[in-house]
Parts: sequence; C-alpha cells; structure tokens
Amino acid sequence: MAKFVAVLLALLVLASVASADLAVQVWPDKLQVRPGEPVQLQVTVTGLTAGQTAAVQCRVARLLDQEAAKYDGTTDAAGKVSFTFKPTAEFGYEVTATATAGGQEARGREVFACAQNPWSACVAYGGDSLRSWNMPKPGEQYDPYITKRIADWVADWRTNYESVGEILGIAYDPFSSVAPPPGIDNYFSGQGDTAYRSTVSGLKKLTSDLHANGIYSTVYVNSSVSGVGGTEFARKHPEYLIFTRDGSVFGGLNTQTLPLLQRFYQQYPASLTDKEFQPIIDSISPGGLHIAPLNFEHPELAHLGAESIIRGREVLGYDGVRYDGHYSVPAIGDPLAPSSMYLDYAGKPQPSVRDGDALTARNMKLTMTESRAKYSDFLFGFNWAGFRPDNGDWVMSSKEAATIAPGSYILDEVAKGAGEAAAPDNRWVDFARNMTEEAERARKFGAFLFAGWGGGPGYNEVDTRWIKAFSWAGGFRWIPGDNRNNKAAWRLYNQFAFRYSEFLLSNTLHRLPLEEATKLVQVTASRPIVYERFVEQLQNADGRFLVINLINSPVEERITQQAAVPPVAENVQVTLAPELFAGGAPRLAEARVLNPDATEQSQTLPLQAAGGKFTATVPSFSYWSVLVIPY
Amino acid sequence: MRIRYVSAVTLLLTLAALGGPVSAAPVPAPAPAPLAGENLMPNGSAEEVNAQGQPTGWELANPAAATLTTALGGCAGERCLQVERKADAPADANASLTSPVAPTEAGWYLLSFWFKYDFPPESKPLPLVYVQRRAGADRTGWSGSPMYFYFANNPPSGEWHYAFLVLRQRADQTGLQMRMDSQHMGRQLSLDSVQVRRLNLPATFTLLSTNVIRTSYWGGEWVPDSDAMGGIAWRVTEGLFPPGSKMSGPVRTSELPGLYRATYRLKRQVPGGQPVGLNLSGGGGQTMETILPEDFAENGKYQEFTAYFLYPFGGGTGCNWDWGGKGTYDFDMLKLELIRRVSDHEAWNLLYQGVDADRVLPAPPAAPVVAGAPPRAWLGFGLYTEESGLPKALTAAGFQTNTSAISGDGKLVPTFPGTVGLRLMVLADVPARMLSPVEKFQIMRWVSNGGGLVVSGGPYGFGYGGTPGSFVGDLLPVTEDWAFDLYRLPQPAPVLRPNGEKLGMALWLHRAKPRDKAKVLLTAGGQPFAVGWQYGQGKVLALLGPPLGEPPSPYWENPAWTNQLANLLKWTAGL
Repeated sequence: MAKFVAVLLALLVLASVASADLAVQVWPDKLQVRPGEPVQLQVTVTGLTAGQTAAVQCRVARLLDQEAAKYDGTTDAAGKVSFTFKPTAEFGYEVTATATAGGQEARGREVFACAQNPWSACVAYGGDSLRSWNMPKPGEQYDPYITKRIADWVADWRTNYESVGEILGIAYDPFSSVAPPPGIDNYFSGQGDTAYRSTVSGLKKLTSDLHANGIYSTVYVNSSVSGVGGTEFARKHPEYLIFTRDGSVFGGLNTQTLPLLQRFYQQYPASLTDKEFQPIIDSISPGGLHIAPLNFEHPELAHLGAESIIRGREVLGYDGVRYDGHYSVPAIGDPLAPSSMYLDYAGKPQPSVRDGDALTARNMKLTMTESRAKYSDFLFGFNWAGFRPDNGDWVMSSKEAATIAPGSYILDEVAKGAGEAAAPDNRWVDFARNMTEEAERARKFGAFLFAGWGGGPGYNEVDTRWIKAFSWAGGFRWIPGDNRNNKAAWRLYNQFAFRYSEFLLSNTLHRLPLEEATKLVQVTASRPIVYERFVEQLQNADGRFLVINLINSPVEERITQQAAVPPVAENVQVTLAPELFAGGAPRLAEARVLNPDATEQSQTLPLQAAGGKFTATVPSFSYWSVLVIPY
Repeated sequence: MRIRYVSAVTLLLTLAALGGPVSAAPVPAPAPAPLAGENLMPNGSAEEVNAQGQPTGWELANPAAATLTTALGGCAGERCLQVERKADAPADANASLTSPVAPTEAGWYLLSFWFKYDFPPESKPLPLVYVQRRAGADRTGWSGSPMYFYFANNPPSGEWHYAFLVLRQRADQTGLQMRMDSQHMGRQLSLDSVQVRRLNLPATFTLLSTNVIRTSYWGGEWVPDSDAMGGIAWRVTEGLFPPGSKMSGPVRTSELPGLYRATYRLKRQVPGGQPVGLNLSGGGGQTMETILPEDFAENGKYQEFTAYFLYPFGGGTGCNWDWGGKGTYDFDMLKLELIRRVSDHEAWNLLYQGVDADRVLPAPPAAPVVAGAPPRAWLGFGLYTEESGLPKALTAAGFQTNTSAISGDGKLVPTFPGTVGLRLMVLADVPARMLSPVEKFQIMRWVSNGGGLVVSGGPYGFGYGGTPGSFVGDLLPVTEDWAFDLYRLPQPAPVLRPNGEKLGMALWLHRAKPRDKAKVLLTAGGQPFAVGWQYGQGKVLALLGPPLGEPPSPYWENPAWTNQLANLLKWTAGL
C-alpha cells in the first residue's frame, strides 16, 4: 500500500511539473478574410504559475518568409493576449507567437489567408459533411442536437482549413425553396440522400458561426423546380416547363407525397411532432418532388432566380450559390446535338446547344449581375464536367465559360472516378495530364477549378498526400467524398497549401508548356521525380518567382487509394537553364524549398552556378516539395 | 360468346349489337393504307395439327432437346404452340423452333407473336426469338452475333404477352427461329398468333418530326471528328473497351406513337471484327438490325444506314448499339423521323389480331346504381388535382372515391384497379400513356357499357398525356392537336355557363374541337371549357381548362365551381 501511495505521489509531482511547462497556442479568429479586414491573433499561454505573465512576441509572415507585422505584448492574468492585424496582400499568412516566462520559451504557429475573391486562396472545399442534417425527432429537443451539429461542422471546416464550403441540400430549387415561405422555419428540400431537414434559425446560426470563423458558405442550387414551392411555381407558369417530343413534361413527377407535404406546411409547426408526417421526416426524398427543369429561353427566369438567391442570402446569411447545372438553353441533355429532344409547351424545339449558348450566357450574366448589384461579393460556382463530354455529362461551352466563369468556382465531377480502376484518369500520369490541362483552361477563364467529389475513406495516408500534391501542383483542388477529414495528412497538407497558396493556386501563375519545361528544367534524383507539368512562373507586386513542384513518383502506376510508402527521394538535383531567367536574374542566389512533411516547412537552399546553369539540391523528401526561386 | 377482333370497327359494331345503340361514331377512320400487309405465316396459331400432335409446318431444330406440341388455351383460337425443353437435354442444346415459312422477298417485316411461359419469376431474361442473318453462325451474344434476338424480360409468368420485332429481310438471311434458353429445363413456352407481315413503307410521306440522337452511354469515348455532325464522334476501340460496350441514345426519347425511319451513320475504322447491333425499342416491340463488317464499303468513311421502327401505344422509347469488342467503329448520330402516326386502334388491330378478347379480356360492365349506396368512383390524382376542385366535387356529389397517385417513376400507386364496380373514373391530369393498351381498351368497353369517364387537363393531360390517337382520345367528345394543345388565352376570361353566369376566371385551355353530337357545357374566352357526350351507354366529360396561371378571381377558388363540377360529375356517371 505504502509503495502504491509513493508511486501515486511521484506521478502527481511529475504531473505538476509537466503542467508548468510553457506552451503557446496562437489562433487567428478568422481562417480567411478580405484585404483590410481585421484578424484577431489570439494568443493563449499555458503553464504559467498563478499571477505570472508572459512576454509575447507575435510575428506575421507571408510569401516565403517576408515579415508582414510584428507585435509585442504581455499576457493577462488568464494567460491571454490579442493583437489585431489587417492584411492587405493576398494569399497565405503564418503567425508565430513566442512566449517567454520564468526563463522558459515556447512557440506556437498557425496559418490564415487573405483574398478578395475567397475562391482564390481556397485549397479545399467543404461540403460533404453537411449532408442529411436531420430534424430533431419528435420528443427530441432542438438543443443541444442541432446546436452541437452546427458547432461540429464549423470546427470540422476550420480544422481542415476549408475556407469556403457548400451547404448541400437546402436549396434544390432556386425558384421556390432557397428560403422557405415567410413564417415557415423548417426545410424539406434536397436531393436524394442529401435531403436536407433543418430550420431557418439553424441555418442562420450555421452561416453566422462560419463567418465568425472566417469561412464562406455557398448553397447548392439546381435549375429545376421541385418541392411544394416549385410545384406551385410550375402551376402558375406552365409556359416555363419543357416537354419531350411526345408532349410529356421533361422531368419527374410524384404526386404521392405532394398532398402530405402540402399539409405539412399548412399545419406547421404542429406537423413537426405529428406522427402522420413522420414518414416524410424520416424518408422523403424531396428530389422525388423534383418536377422539371425549366425553359430558360425566358429571361424572366433568370430574374426570378436572382431574386430568389438574393432573398435566400438575406434570410439565411450565406455568401453565394453553387449551381449544379445552371440555366442552360437548351435544357441539360445532349451537349452537341440539335436540341430536338426538348420543346416548349407549344411544341417548338428549343435552340440547339450552339445557338443556345448565347442565351445561357445571357441568363447567367443576368443572374450574376443582378445578384452582385445587390451584394458585390456574391459567390458563384458552376459545374462544367471538365471539357470531357463523357457519359452525357453536361459541358460548359466556351461562350458560357467566358461569361460566367471569371471569379467563379468551377467543379469538375468527372475526375471523381480517378481512384477507381476503370476510370480514364486512374493512372497518375493521366490524372496529372488531364487535370492540369483542365486547370489551365479554368485559369484562362479566370475561374478556380475544383475536382470532386472523389474518393474519401478509401484513400490511405500515402495516397492522400499524393492526390493532394498532384492536384495543387496541377493548379486545382481535390474535393473528396465522404469522411475526408479523418487523416492527419489531410489537415497537414491543407494547412501547408493554405499557407503557400500563392505559389500553388494563384491564377497569375504561368505554367510552362511541357516541352519548354523539360528543356529548361532537369531533375535527377535517387528515384523518379514527377515535375514536368508542374513548372510555373509567378510575377506580381512581390517580384518574380520560378515555382517547381517536385513529386516523388508514386510506386504504383495507378491510383489505388492504398499506395505503399515510397522510398525517400534523395539528393534531388534541380538544374535550371540560364535562358529560363533571360533578362532578369541578377539577384539569383538562393532557392526556398517548401515541404509539407518537414518540421521546418520552408528552408533555404543554395543555388550552385556552373556552366551558365544553376543547380539546387534538395537533400530529401518523401512525397512532395515545392522549389521556389525568386529572380 | 367469343368475338374475334378483326378490326375495331367490327368490335364496336358487335358491342353495339350486344349492348345497345352507340350514339356517336366513336371510331376514327383508320389510316388510309394499312401499316402492314397480309400475314405470311401459316398456322401461326397452331390450329392445324399433324398426326403426331404437332403444329403443322413447325419443326424442332433439335428434337433431342425439346418436345413440340399444341395445347388448348391459346389466346388466339383454341390452341397454341407449346415447346417444353426436356429436363434431360444436354445443357448446351437449345430448344429451337423452325417456322413454317420465312419471307424471302427483300424488305422490312413485322414479326409479332404472343407468348406465355411458366418460368419462375426470377428467371434470367429469356431469349425468345432470333433470326439468323448469316446461315450457320453461332450465337455468342447479341453483340457478337450476326443475328437478331429478342429478350423477354420476365413479364409475369402464366399470362399472355405480345411482342413484335421489325426486321429486315436480306438475301443472306435465314428464316425465323424461336427457341428457349437452355437454363429453363423442363419448362414450357407457349406461343400463339405468330405472324409475319411486310411493312407497307410509304414511298412518299410528310415528315412529321425529326429527332437527332447523339448521346453516348458507356464503354467508348468521344473523339474529334471533322466529318461528324458535331465535330466529335463516339468511338469503340478493340482492345480498349470491353465487349458489350454501348453506343446509346438516351434512355428515354419519348417519341409519339408512329412509324419511324431511323437513319444512322457509322464509320468502320479497323477492318474485320464483329458486327454492330442496333436496337430501337418501345411500345412492346423492337427494331433490331445487325451491321456486319462486310456491310462497309471502306474504312475510315462514314456510311449511312437505314432502319424502320414501329412504336405503338407510347410509354417511352430508347435506342442503343451493342458492339462485340472486335474492330473499331465510330458512331456519329441516329436520326429518327416520324413518317406516319399510329393510333391505338391501328396498333391493336395489327398486334392483337386474332386474339380472343372476350376470353383474355372480359368486357367489364358499369356498376349499377343502387339506391341508398354511394356510387363508386376512381380518381387518378394528378399534379394540380387538389386545386382543380375535383376531390371536393366528388365528395359533394356523393361518390365513394378511391384514389391513385403518380409515383416518382411515373406509375399509378396503387395501380389502376380496373373498372369493375365503378360508376365513374376520373383522369385528373393523369397521362393516358400511364395506362396500358389493355387498360385503355377496357375503359373504352366499360364506357360503352355505361361507365362515366372524366378527363381533365394540365401539364400532363390531354395531348401532353398521349391522349390523341389513344383509346382514351377516341372516347373524348373533343378532338385535339396531336400533343401540344395547351395554350394561354390572350387575357383572363370568365368561365361561362350557357345562361351566361360567370364562375370565375380562367387563363389556360387545352385546344380542342367538339365532335359532332358533343355538347359544350361551359365556355371560356369563346372556347369550349367543358364538353360532354354520350358514348355507347356511357358518358364522357372533357374539362379543358386546367387550374393554371394566375388569373384574377380564378374559377377554382369560386365556391360555385364545386357545385357546378359536382353536377357535371353526376351527369357523367348517369346519376
């Protein structure tokens, strides 16, 4: 017994000593802001004795290691001190807080970003976690159920550095349900298993909390009418419906649940706990009430759609919308054939896709212009299926892209199969080629390419690193499907890319053509390095930079989602031809190597000059390093 | 009493003789030229039997595998063919039938037949009939075989079903064969009313509509192609894509019932290989065409092919290509041209010819009116039925009403229960195409026998629902445009009783013209709004003004409308 007590006392002593170790956490209150918006840099020091304070130095850096601000302060009695920083330059920042007390020193680090257009610095797009937001069951209280879920999701996005995300399901239909009718607080909308069931108050709380954390939100919308509101809209405006060649309405129809759902709204809020409506709450797929895409030859629809998403923003507080199929003419269908498939209510065929391009562009220009006239920062996202007209997927025309893409998020849903054996992009080499070319096209239109929704829990830690490295090196963002967050590599790599987003995702990056890149940059190493498509030049107010993404070649040719750990790439020599810097390399002296897996993610490397060429040698890395050379 | 349905006219004249006068001429004039010529298949109903008890003219290709007999209980005549695959037959031996005759004259033919089997419900699809394009070729699957064959995709066993194929007779083609798949040991397949007719393809015609289909399916890829219509073509490549890859049109093209000419462009890139199969399907039948490698004059150049497609009754069409994994082909497009409409009557007369409808489809009477008992009604609940006021009016009129709603996959739930026991049925913006040909046929006979039918409009009603040309369309007191009949009045107009009383405003109407002897009961904007007539012993009411748009003081919110509608419903039900 005495021995046990002695051990216990010893442990307690050890614990008290350990608790006295100085530790620092620095927490920007916002993940991402626009230029000029303040970020509170909240520093918390732990391990102080009672009444003790710590001297805190807070350093904000951007670019490679350029100091943007420096603050000195002293903690209060609670060990806290805060500084206000207003970034002006765009892209990633790193704040480092160093605390000194009682002869001890501790350091903490965190990243945040600044971007006028939130998409530009966004390295990963949150959204999947917001599926199936369930209403509390009868007898179950709203709190803490929904409140906890809101907190969980905000934390989820924040932890994973997802500075913009999508709230799925609440607005299948911009013509009826972006916001529910006045006086109605609950939602039944969505798409299949993403059916969304929540409340206006819950959504407002969610978007508000996201904003408080420097996270922007968009909502999913479609170009069909659906649900109770959409059905009523179609009743008032049958002239907006589209018909197939035998006269039937193009789209689905389900009157089985319609009367029940109508009564649900009529009897709200008593219906919330009425057992008659429980089947709806439990199982209805409001997509099943989806009745029809619309004939967007009518410009009034674009006006109505704009009014709807503006009202939704005012009611719910979101920042924008992501169209899963926008107001295209003709209706979604064969992208290239004359659109004899679809007719208006009088039997007149819609214009062909080529003729309809101008109308589609008109619609979305009108929608975006009206929305941005009200809210200049209104965010937009669209799908375009990656310019690979595959499996009947809808393809955005150049005219549409030129109209609606600038400043927008573009989602490519074709790439999602990359992790599947039969997918066209299943080989790493194809994935790199196809997606990089597509990202360049998005850049050409001033858009920001995201590839989704692919893979997820199937990707192990190794493939997670590679899929992210290949994506960012290629200039796009990879959005996985379910359960994306449960891997340390995911968070680590997102944080890294967020910090150095300027060198990875800026639309001012100029990617060297493949032939040029391989002529001007040569890489030798202990094992194959993939870099050829990933050589870029960046020129902006900060100067000029050469950016070379070096990826340790995957062991397997194909994307297996279960890749083996590769041998470490060592002695990676990157030799640069002098003409690469023609007319502008007087200061060429050193390079920076950025490595997400290294303890010090940014390190300086000497540049060896010989025979008119420059060589940087990266000692080693496991997956991915980015070599940045100012010139 | 058995009635052979030689034609709908005969049917209705016979019914009239049996059940009383038909007050209006309910049957539209058939198309000037019949769709198809005389039946060329002798003994297709197996009424002639040889000394061995087998149907005269029919032979088993492999007598060791099956037995061939006739049996009573055919759907056409008394007997039917019956093939039973022997339980001890070798696993790879098929129970194949050779028909008494195969057409030899080049052209397009309609092969139609009725079938029934006793296979378990979960059996694999049954290859029921195939026609060899090249003598002696083995079947290795549709994609790899120079044959046509038809799969019966497990319709309910124990019942008669019809099927038909549109096939081209070529010089190198052997005769019609039918067979059972070898998996169905000891099971019976019954066939009846097997007919082969040459399609009458009009030498000249007015092109009624054109639909160009390009959409891909799976197992191929788009490739740039300046010769292709849209600058790209869908390519299947040997070694790159698996056998069975598709070059497909959309799952649903939803064409109007009719006779179609299909023109398609294919390019053979690599010589040799296996044939490409085209399948156009819909209305219970298919067009099948096999293109052999030798059908191409040269590589790398588009070649145009033509096929004909008969699509009766409506209900959804589709097309796709199958490819055997050998050779490389490019597909540009398929053009479907409607060259002739086909009404339900016309299709019925062709495909149901010889079928004993009284035995297979007993004629339903209308329920008698019983004092003190509420009359029964069935309501097909469509999109805006609640707004139309029909449910309230049915209640106000004293009906005991069962309702079926439309499900997400476009079916009535519960399924249409049939007309037995009904005084009134209401198709409230429910597409006529949701009813099967037999259901529509039965409704027609039920109305003739005294039932009351109400058809109301909306985005799914009348022309939009496939009513014109259907049996339901024939029942109506109005004639309509073929499909797109909904229009908006120049301005909201009051719904007027004959005495000038206003019932509220309407904005949208179905464009329709009252038939002779029909009575216009209500009007709006000078157009018929509600029209009724007597059909045989029954009555039919067409409500042509759906509750659409936003007119001021809409009629459907007017309390007088419910009373008016209730009276119309009672009139239709003969109460």
